[in-house]
Amino acid sequence: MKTWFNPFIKSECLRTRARLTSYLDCELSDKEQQELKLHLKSCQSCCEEYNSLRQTISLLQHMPEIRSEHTFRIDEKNVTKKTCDRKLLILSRTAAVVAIILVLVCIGDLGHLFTPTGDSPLGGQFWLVRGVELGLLVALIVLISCILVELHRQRKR
Amino acid sequence: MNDVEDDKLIRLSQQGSVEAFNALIERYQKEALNIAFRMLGNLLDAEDVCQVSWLSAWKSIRNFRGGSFRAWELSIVSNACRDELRKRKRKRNMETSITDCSLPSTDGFTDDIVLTREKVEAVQKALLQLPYEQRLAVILRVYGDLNYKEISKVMKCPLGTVRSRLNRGLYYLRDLLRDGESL
Repeated sequence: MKTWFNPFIKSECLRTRARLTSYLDCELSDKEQQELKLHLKSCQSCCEEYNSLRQTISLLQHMPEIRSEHTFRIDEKNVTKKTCDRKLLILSRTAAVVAIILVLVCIGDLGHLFTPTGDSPLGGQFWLVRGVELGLLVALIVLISCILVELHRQRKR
Repeated sequence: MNDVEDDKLIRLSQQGSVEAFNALIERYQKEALNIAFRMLGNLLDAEDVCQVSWLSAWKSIRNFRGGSFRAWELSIVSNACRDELRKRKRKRNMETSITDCSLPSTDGFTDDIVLTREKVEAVQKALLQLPYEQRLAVILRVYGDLNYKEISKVMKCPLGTVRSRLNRGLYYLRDLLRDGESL
């Protein structure tokens, strides 16, 4: 019974057409591939759709390949220099931030902001402040040494 | 370096070997250029996009966590193409790129030309008329030779979305080619 208005047939065709590309690429399960294959054998219009999609893909595949006259390469010297420059930039920025914090803490310390007897709410943090100052100083020395080593390496190159 | 496997080249690149990375570029540059060209329709832009993509890939090669290098590189190329298209959109040059789809001279083609130049231009123009997501899905499948799973990773979308984008894209492309009597 071939009836174009049969809702079952129509939905079957719609379902098939929605999966035709996957069918062409063999990206369906074995069961689904088999179902579609059977449907295509029995349905003329779906078969035409299938052939037209196949032709479209074939046309795309036969498009000529593009070739460039340029050869893409990463330039070793440039890359190394850029990496070193970036490293130096990060190191010097971090050193600058650490130095600023250290200066601020030292100013606060000189202004008796952290003294135990002061009226300041930060009073009583004396040893903690000394520890922070020392830590910042060590970090700053390490960072400056790293910058000097990096500069020395660059000069060697 | 030409006989060395991808995995080894990737490992060496991650350790900072520019030579190994250049060998990877040599291996995949043709594919990347073809995909960029199909996406943008302009050889000069495609070359720029490729250069940017390779630099970007070099910078982030340490973050590559295995899997398909081709899919990883093509995702970088597709991101660069998207940026280029956004730039064009900002400059309102989109119409120009579609109508003046600049194909290179026949010297730029490596295959024996089976299709006529008119047909090649018609297909390229039709491709450029597809919505971005559908175009990318079709191009990655046909020219990148990626499977659906890899495409879903590149496009960062579920497998079902890849299926529907590919299906819609191909139907739309077919209709455009039929309208232009190229099919």
